[in-house]
Amino acid sequence: MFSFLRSYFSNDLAIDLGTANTLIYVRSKGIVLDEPSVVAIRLEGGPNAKKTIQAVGKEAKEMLGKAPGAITVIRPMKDGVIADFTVTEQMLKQFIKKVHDSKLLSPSPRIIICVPSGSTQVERRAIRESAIGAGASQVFLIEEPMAAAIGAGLPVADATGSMVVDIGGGTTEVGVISLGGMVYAGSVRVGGDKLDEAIINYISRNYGMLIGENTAENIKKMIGSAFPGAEVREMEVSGINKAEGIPRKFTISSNEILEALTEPLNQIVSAVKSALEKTPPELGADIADKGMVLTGGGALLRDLDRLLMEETGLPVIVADDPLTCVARGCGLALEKMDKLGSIFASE
Amino acid sequence: MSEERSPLAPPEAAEVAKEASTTNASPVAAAAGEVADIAEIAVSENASPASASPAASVEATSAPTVDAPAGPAAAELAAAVPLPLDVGGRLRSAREEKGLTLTEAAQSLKLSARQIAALESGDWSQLPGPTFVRGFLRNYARLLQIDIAPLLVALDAEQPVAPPPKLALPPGAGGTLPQDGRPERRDTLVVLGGLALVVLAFAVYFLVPENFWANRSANNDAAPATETSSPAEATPAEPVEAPAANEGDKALSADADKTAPTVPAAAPASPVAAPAPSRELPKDPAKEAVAGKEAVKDTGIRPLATPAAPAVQAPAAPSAPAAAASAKPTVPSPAVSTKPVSPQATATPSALSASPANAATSAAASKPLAAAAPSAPAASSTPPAASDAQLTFSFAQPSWVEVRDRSGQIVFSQLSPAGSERRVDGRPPFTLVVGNATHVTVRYKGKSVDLSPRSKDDVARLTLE
Repeated sequence: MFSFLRSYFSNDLAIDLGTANTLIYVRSKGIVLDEPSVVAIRLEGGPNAKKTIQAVGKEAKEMLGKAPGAITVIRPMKDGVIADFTVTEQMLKQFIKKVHDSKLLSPSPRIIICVPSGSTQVERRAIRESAIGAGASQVFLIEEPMAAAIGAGLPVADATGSMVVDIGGGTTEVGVISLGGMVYAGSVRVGGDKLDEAIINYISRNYGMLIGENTAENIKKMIGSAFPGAEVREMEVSGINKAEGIPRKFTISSNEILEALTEPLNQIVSAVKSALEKTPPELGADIADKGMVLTGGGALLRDLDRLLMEETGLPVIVADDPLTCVARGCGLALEKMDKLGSIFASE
Repeated sequence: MSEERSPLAPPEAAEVAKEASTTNASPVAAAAGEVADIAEIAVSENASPASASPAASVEATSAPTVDAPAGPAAAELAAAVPLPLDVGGRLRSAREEKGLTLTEAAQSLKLSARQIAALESGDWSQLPGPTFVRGFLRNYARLLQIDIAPLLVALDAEQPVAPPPKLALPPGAGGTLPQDGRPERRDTLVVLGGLALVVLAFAVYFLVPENFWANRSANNDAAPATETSSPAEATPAEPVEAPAANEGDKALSADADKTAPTVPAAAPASPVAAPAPSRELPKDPAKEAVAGKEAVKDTGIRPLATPAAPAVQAPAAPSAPAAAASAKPTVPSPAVSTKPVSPQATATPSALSASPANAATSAAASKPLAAAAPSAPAASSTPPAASDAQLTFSFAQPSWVEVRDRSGQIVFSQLSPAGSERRVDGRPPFTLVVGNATHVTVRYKGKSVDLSPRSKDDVARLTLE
């Protein structure tokens, strides 16, 4: 009954609860928070032993791999879904607290939150529950490809096929959208994390060096590429030499990283291809004309669009500001939440 | 350099272009042989249009763009001076500089040549939308190895501001398909309509008085009756007649009686009465007068004499003929509805010797009600519409009957045994409640009343005017 009052006091939120980053969009304010989905939990000893949250977001990410035994740094999201329910809930609560300046009232906003299209009912329920646990009064779910397409500015409501490939931290979502709904949605659990993992494994195998997740991510961002280019770049990396057990520096080239990334990238390519196979011909014609749009952090991998272009023979474009596409799409859906029915996902 | 040439007239421009390209070509040739080849191509291109002067101006502009970045010095010059070209122009010049054809560019971008041409001509409407224009532009710029940032800025300036993407589907046609478990809207309408009808029916049943229709039909019936009787009363409305009219109003049954004291007056008086009853007993006024005379004799004996008798005055007598005359025209109309009584009544004059009571009685006897018999004069007197009226009940089975008169007072209320008959006098309208209605016969003003349309659960409620 008083929901309109409550929503007057606390702004509605759209949350891109990603494996790598969590973005929060506040109605009529835009994206106000963009933090890594990382939580550092400190285990306090002594008579009043308890677990407290040491840090969330950027601070916590800096602790990743560097924390002492008393601090556990957790990435509560894995493969696009919740791996640790309570920690996710706490992280969301902390983030929502950050974006709400009102101190008097505990925030209880309506929340739009996106879920991977391939997530199971249990996983969706978990995401919904964690948002409610974090203080949401109502939770609406939207599938990631839909949010990404809206954020990229595709004509989702038109009777024309639009294909979007959202390469996130944990999953790659492929969606074909027409008339405000998903005609095809595919999801493979390959994303930025898998690329990092592939780099770690490659270096461990070929160089006998151990590197951390953050280092692998840096390598990927600096010299990672998906398609052999004319230019070969190199980077100096530090790691632990497995044989000697001593930290060493070594230099790695972009061609090696390309080789390391081949296997996960092929999974992405095959996901795109199978999406194209299963697209109805009329929509396929639209896609052949317009091409597909890459969003998500993975789209920033150098020449990934060229790889897909060469593999599919279709035009591939990278959306503007691909990292925030999903959050912006969620936000646009939030702005028009009361008028839109078809774009939201059921549980 | 291009700025220098563009203002020149076409033929001159062609010449200057030729010169310029040759001058450009020589330093470039010193710098790099490969570029010199391009410059030579430019020269040859320039040379050919020089002969065709009309096309020269077009070539003049394209020529410098080709050769401008040919040498390092020229490239610097071009960078120093802001490019006057739009986004498409810049793309085209960059592509031509690269030596790519439209088809080649289209192949490497996986776009169609048509789309590339649209990009280069700035025809954004041919392309799928702002997002795709930017994406294609970015890819194209990367292919051509030119800086994308200024292109995107220029694109934003050229392209109308993109409206925010439309998310809502176009409004539907309004129909809703039935869903499992949910009642269809049409069903609810039908159900609601049905309920409303039921409620309405109940409301009508309980709220509308039961004698509503009875009143309506009684009014309808009464209307002609009053019409026919009114002339009879209206004609006496002459001042002289007034007493007679009053008399008629008051107690028509007394008509016969009042004649008793003044026999001569009675004769004219009875015609006055005659028109009114004419509905029931239409007779020729003359004959009626005779009958009235007879009746007078008879009624003189009867105890029914009422105080009205003195009311009969001499003045009434003179007017009586007039009344009779006026009554005459009224007679024919009711004559239509005459009962078989009338022939009998006409017959009476022939049998004048017979007691008038008999004549009257015979008239009354023609009706099934024997009750009329004892009151032969009453039979002739009942007809008067606005006066006391008589109800007769005959019971085939025991029945309870209540009768209220005009003032609402109960004039009759009792349980009558089977086979009995009851007569009720009073002032109409009567409100009747008749129990066991199917076994009760009601006669009013000599006519039998059909109770069945107004009875419910075998109890009839009706009003008789």
